[in-house]
Amino acid sequence: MTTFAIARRQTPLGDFLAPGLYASGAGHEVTIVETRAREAQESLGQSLTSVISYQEALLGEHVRALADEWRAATLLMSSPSDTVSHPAYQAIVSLGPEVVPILLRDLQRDSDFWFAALTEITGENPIHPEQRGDMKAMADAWVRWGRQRNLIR
Amino acid sequence: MSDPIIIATCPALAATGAYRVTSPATRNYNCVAWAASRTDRWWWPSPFAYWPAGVPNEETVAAFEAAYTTLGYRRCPDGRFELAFERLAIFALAGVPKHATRQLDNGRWTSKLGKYLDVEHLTADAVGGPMYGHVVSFMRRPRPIWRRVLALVRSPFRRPIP
Repeated sequence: MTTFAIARRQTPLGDFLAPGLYASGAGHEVTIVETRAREAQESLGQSLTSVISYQEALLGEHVRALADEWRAATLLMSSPSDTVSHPAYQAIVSLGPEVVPILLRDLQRDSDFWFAALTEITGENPIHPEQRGDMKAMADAWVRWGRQRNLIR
Repeated sequence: MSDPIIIATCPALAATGAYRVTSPATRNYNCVAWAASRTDRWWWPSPFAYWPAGVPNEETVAAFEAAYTTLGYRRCPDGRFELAFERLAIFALAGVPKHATRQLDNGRWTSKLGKYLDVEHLTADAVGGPMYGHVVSFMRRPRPIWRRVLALVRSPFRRPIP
């Protein structure tokens, strides 16, 4: 059995902030970061008292924006292969292991098609053949997988 | 009806406006499952969807026909209404299957639009367009006797959708 671990990588905040936001100076930048981190925390359903770094919050916000774009563009598609080949979906996959907990938390709330992304990022697939196509069962299989590795609660 | 999402995707429906929404949006099943009268799974030749055992795991019209053959459907020449048979249609774009629709007992057709809604429309190809391509295969199987009676009652009321 393959062991999966999340590698923590320091990503510049600038990756997630528009360059124009820096124009007002460092103090303004911090305010913007705090505000956006708080918004991202709230959007992720996290308590403000929970421990979540600004970086994680901003990554969550970035993933949410890509996911919204992907959902809107693929809403009427039936083909999983068409759905997962959308650029926004592939952009999420390219973010790597750091997005795994975010996708798993999304699966806890709503069974969307994150299975291909999770498999591509982690190299694993906890879905049994008899569960294929059953959105709830596939989501549950991944949530269980995430809990076993303490990636989600 | 004028759902902007549907109108943008299915220009033929936009032109006639002749469709009605018959169920809320759900991700639990897709059009291929819905055409097979199943609502518990996604059907597709994919590692993350159900596909009947023994059917080639490939995105070809032949594989989709083979999947429906496991349910008793056989290829037929057209999408006309017959009391003795129920029908479905497979859509493809550049030879790759994209959609499937099923004929109702009233002679209209029903489609599940991806992760979105089910809609009832007048002709099979009414949902054709840049997203789903067009009908490339019609299939039929004998309609159960009790549903022939239903079809007999319902089909005379096959009039334009208001």
